[in-house]
Amino acid sequence: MISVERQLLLSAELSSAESRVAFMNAMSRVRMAFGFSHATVMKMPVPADILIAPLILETTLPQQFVQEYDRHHLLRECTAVARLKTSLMPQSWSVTEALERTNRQPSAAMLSLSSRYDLSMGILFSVIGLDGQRLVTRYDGTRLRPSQSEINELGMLSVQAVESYNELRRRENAKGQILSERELEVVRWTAQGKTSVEIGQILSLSDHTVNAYLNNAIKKLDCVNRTQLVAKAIRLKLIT
Amino acid sequence: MPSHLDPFAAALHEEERKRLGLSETEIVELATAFRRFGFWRLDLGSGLFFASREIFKIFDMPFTEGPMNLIEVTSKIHPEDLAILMETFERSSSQRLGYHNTYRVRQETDYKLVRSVAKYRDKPESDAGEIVGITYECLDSWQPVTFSDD
Repeated sequence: MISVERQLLLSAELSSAESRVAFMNAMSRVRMAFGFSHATVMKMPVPADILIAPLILETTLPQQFVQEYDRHHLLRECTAVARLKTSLMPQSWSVTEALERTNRQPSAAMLSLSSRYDLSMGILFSVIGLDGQRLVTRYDGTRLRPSQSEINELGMLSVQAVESYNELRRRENAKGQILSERELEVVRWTAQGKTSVEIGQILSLSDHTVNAYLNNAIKKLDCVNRTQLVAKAIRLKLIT
Repeated sequence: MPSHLDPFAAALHEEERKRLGLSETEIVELATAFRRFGFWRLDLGSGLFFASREIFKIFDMPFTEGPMNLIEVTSKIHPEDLAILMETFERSSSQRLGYHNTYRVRQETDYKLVRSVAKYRDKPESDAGEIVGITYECLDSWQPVTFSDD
């Protein structure tokens, strides 16, 4: 299949995905079309990140691989991830390239893992979503380094992948996780510096009820405390 | 994404402070003398943000004794910087991380650059802990020479 036709087909499949399963099926078609074994969508790591698992949003990588990768803190060793922090260009990695580029032998843990899972190279694309969040799509496997035209094609498909993934997340939020009017009200008052007791007085509710609304909101927005809840609600423009 | 550094790497160690003969109060006084600094504490369990008077001045808000109104604070931050700043709050509050962040705050006709540096600390009476921080204006009005009465 010629590359333009392939790109159009894969792009259409990504954009029409109505669920995460359908999205990952489309991502699998992309990785297969380019001869990769695995496809991943992840958050862009910051220097403080030492584990990859919390960053992964969707992946076909085996769970054991990810666990072992993190047990040995191999994210720190990944030169492609390090380069992504200073560049928007696609970054490839390979076991042999690591040696050539850095003149440093990959760790025994990295070599063992890549050999056992047959992952000797990969390529990473950084894409900034409409919400400003930088996501990374990565394709890993065992093949020759992609040609420039393949990189161009994969780059466009990665933009489509991130756009489709973000659209799925927006739809999920709109469906089941939106806060009720009462929950929004108590979150807004919390952001304005009011305690549960004060909110209870303002809304003629017991502080116990206010806490229940706040705890519901924390669960719905997948937060762990009220500070994270307030920050997320502001970021998502749920409260202004 | 916010970048990472160790903002406390240059902190004056106790031994050095004693060698120089400086009290902790004097160090704070001296450090805060060359630009507008404010201090704050974010109680992760309650979501309440307590700030010193200088923080209110930085955000051009009237001082109040109680927790600060974050809705008003965020309304003063440049819209392009707000999402990343809130994301930093989200990550630092859920993962108990320190951070630093530089962002634009609205002043009369334009924006000024402000930096916040924060660290997590445990709070004995709460599982959630708290984040304490310092915020300062990156560019202050330049005064070549001034004298103090003290």
